[in-house]
Amino acid sequence: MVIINQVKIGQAEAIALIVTVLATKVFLTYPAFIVSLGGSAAWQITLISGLVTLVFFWFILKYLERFPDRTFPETAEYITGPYLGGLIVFSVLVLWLFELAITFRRFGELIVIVALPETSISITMLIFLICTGLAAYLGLSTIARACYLAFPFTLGAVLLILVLSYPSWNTDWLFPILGNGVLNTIKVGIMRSSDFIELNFIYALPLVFYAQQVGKIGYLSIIITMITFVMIVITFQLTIPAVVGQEPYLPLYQMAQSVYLGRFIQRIEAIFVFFWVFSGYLWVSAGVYGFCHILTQWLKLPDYRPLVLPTLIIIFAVAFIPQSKPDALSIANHSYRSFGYIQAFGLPVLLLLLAILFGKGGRYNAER
Amino acid sequence: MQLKHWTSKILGYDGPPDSRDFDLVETDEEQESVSEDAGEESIPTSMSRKHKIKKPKKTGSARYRHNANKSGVDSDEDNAERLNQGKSQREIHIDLKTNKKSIEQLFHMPLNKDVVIRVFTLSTEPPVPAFLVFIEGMADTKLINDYILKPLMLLTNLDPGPDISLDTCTNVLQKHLPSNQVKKLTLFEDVVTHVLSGDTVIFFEGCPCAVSTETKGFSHRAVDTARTEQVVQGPQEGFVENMRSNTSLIRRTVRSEKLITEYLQVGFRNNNNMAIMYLADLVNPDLVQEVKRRIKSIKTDYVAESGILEEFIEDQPFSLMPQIIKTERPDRVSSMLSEGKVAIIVDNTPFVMLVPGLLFDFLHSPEDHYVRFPHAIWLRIIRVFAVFLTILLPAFYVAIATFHQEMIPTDLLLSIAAARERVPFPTIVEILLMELSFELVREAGVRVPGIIGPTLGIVGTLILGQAAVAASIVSPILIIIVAVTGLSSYTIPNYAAAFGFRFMRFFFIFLAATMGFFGISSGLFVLLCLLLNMKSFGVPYLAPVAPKTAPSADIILRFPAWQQETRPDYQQPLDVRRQPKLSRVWAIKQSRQPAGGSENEGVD
Repeated sequence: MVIINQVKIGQAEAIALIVTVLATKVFLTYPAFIVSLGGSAAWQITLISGLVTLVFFWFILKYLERFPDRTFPETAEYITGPYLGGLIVFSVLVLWLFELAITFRRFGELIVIVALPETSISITMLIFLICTGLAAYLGLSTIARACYLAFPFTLGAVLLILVLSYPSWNTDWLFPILGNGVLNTIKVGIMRSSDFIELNFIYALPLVFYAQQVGKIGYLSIIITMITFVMIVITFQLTIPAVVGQEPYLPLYQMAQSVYLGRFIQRIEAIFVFFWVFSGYLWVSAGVYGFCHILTQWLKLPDYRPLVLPTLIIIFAVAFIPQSKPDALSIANHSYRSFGYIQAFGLPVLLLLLAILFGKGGRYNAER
Repeated sequence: MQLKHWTSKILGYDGPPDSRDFDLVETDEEQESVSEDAGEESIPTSMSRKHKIKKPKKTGSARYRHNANKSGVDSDEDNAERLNQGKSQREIHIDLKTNKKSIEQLFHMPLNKDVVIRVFTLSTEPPVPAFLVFIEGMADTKLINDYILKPLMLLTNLDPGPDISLDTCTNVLQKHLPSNQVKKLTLFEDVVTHVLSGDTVIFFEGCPCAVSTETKGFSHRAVDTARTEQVVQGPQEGFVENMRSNTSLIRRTVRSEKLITEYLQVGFRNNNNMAIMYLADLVNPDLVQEVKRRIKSIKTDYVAESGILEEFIEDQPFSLMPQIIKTERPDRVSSMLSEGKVAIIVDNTPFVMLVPGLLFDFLHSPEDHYVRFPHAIWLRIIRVFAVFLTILLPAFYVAIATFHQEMIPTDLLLSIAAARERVPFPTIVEILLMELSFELVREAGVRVPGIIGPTLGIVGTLILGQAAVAASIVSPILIIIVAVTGLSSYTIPNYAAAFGFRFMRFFFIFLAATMGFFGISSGLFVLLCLLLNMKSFGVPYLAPVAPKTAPSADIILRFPAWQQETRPDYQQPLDVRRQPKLSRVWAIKQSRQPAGGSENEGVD
């Protein structure tokens, strides 16, 4: 059996990829939902969730350092045995697929809202699916490089929206500074570390990164994402008061709509469609690639590419399970965005503890 | 059975695609290989001071068979045998009459009137019968008369020696042929190749060999100005059809003993000569080997032009973007050779190919280096802007006019709406009409005879546009859009790249008309992914931006020449550094002068 050579991506591209998959959710409901949870202290929730993720990543790093040359399914099966290990991989895949399908649906809804209000969502999503399928088929190096190229432009566009919304800022909206209470902020902050669960890309596909760079990639990605989130949430809070701020489905789009640069330039939000669509494409194609890649490694198949089309069909089918846009939103925010961190960050910690307990990995890894 | 076959083809999986990927990556061995003594086929390296220009390895059919054997394709071998039946592998016979007969057979004489056989006798004691063969029109008859026939027929001092059969050839070669290039041949196949390339081959009675003399004298165009890549400041010379003139044009610019010229042949029907040139101490040996491997493995009968060869050796033949730089400017070739690229020169074509060809290379013009760097930066920015305009401007117009009218400020919207009021077509029909008209004018402008060309341009652009607006077929703003797009496409310095970008705009117009900005973004995403996935001779197409490699001072922005300290790292040259960090030594000397020196002089 010929195994396709493992691709490796460089540090800059890896950071761009991880930041893209982590931060793309700001184009969806993220700022509004955080505001609905934290009130005027929403930005503190983002900060806390980022810091909690940093702590979790320390464990993930320890876990990765212990098994530097194994794939995720190999490690899981090595530590817990083939059956339990298989179950662990399966659970990761199920969550991955679920998140992928729901987010895919939400991007479809986003496109309908911001660009094509009269087009059927199934047409939009079909086109979306074909393009992401192509990118996933071409491989991770293509996706990562696309992320690297698109990243500065997307970040620039987001910053532009933030800066251009300056005339609408009102610092009063940031008060009361403690929002709904310190305890609530901390509790929600920890739970909302689920907004960083895409970090599982790092431990689920460990071999695509250079082992010595993984730490830097992870920490930098989390910090960049955290800063971006905090900036966006603060600006959103400055622009729209907390009570109103929990309403918009696409907060950033609303902020873009509020930009007014004189009489000639006042409706520029359509331009930002490019960046949002691009980010959506990158997010979904990275997800599809990751899903197929883990599945390939789990089933010990030679190539991931034949799995791309079936995966796309499954995602397309699952994406249409929610009856409506609010359904999709509710599923996302009340399921894996609230408790996803337990599985996403808990698994590597659990595996690390078991490995230490059973004396596997690290210096005992020589048997491999 | 057919159904089963197609079912298994659609649903089954045959494993990963069986293709040979070539990646140009630097290895430790490469550095070591620089110092190693090279064999006959290996590339001379920086350590070997001596080198010689390889003469054409005139073994077209033998090479073909060798390749076929290597790949194990027997049927191809038979095919090659059949196609090469005119070329014999036989050795030259000792008997002159037999040799003459063989030559007549090989060249289909007397049917073939181009080939001339001149029988004569060497004025020796005893006289030695001989004949020479050449092709009229390919060989210089004055050279043959004055420097072959005259010395041989009037020579007096030819000493037969003890072994006359061998010495005739050797003596003639050494003493009586005042020609700068002579060669002893033993195979008829070599004789045929030499004669076909314009040489004259002489046979002697009692000699199992023949002497080939360089007498090429076919007519060719003199060196002229470059026609498709014009610059305001800089050299104006362009390549011509004659390969030797082209190699000399390059060699005149790069006066280095490390500049290697290797000769190859392609096409077993037309046996076209081609050369690859590279700087031995710079180019990555793997790249040269890959170029040679691709060219040598081509199995076809006719390669007359570099465009045909390009299709045979490029990585992604179905891409709209070129992956090989084609230029008719010697200065561009020279500068790229000094970056570590390989030049491929095909005989009978004034366009030289350079590999690897990456996206940013196609946006560069030689003039960028001849004007001052702030001006060059501006030129580059204009050009990148033009690329985006070429691809996206019509699509943007269609998307905004069809889907996103809210983006247009109200005053402008009203004026556009007023202009479009009497136009009966939807925007997409309108723009397709004008874009297709533009393409027609462009194509007709190239094809019509030279004198009518400018007239046609005026008719096409002014009268057609004016008439279309007057007849309310299109709106005036659309004429502006099409004109600006057309202008933008012609600012792209590379013809093939400009073609690719122009072609792409139709896809984007279609996407914009069906899905607005979402369609354009989808198209851009797919385009970006496809470009990112492309490689040219093992180098990623968007290098050095993606994948990110060592920073370069000449990608989109061009830094001053004294700041361009390194070569493009992604081509893995053997020597990355172009110049020391301090290249303007005079500047540092000046600054080290005592600070008050000039003041004191002034006071004195």
